[in-house]
Amino acid sequence: MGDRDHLIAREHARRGRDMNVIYAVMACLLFLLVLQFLMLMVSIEAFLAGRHSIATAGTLASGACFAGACWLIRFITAIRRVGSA
Amino acid sequence: MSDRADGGGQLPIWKEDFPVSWTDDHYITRREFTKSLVVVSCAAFTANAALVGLSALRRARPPGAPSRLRLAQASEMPVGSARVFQHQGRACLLIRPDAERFLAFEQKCTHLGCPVLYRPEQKILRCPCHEGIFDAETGKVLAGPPPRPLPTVTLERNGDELWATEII
Repeated sequence: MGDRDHLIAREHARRGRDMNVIYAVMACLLFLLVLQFLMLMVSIEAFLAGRHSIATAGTLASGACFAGACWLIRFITAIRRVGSA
Repeated sequence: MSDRADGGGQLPIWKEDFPVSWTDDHYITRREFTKSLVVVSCAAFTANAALVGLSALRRARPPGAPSRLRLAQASEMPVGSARVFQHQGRACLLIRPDAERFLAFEQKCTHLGCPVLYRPEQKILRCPCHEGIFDAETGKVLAGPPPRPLPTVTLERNGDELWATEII
């Protein structure tokens, strides 16, 4: 019985840690999204002004943010797989 | 409408007619929310990439011969006057700051598109909507919210005739 309680407590602790990680990832995703919208505003302004190099740099930065968001999603998925294994 | 009489655990008739799971209907899961954030991120990146594609298309298009538009006779315009004209589908402003020179700019303010007005006594172009001020000599922003200078219209003078060519 003591072992069972111990296992249950460990499981709860693991789930608590996983939820903290997931919330941290969601916060990072929101931050990346805000950055991307800033980049989009800068690119639109540069495009209207005819400054194409700035628009290209903004797109590259936005692409990096999107790549970071995809990596974070994969990270969460990996955590869920490991947890359910 | 009435519930089934039996207690056998079957759904009442009205729930069969309206099969809504209220719990799921009210809540979005964390997984769905996170996926939606990534979808929005993808959309923002796609919009950025579309801008770059558009600008590459514009640069790749071979420049055609600039269209020429006869504006006015130089002698018809008094010093300090201004005249509005349409060139390449855009409203433009021709001004005569002194006896020797003629200048032309696009009339649309670079802030939110209001038409700018010439003030010869102050040598400025003023946007009445949000008090944007442009230099009447160069079109550069002197004050106010406009983010970019006014595009300049290249002028040619053939004797007494003024011609507009390209908008820079």
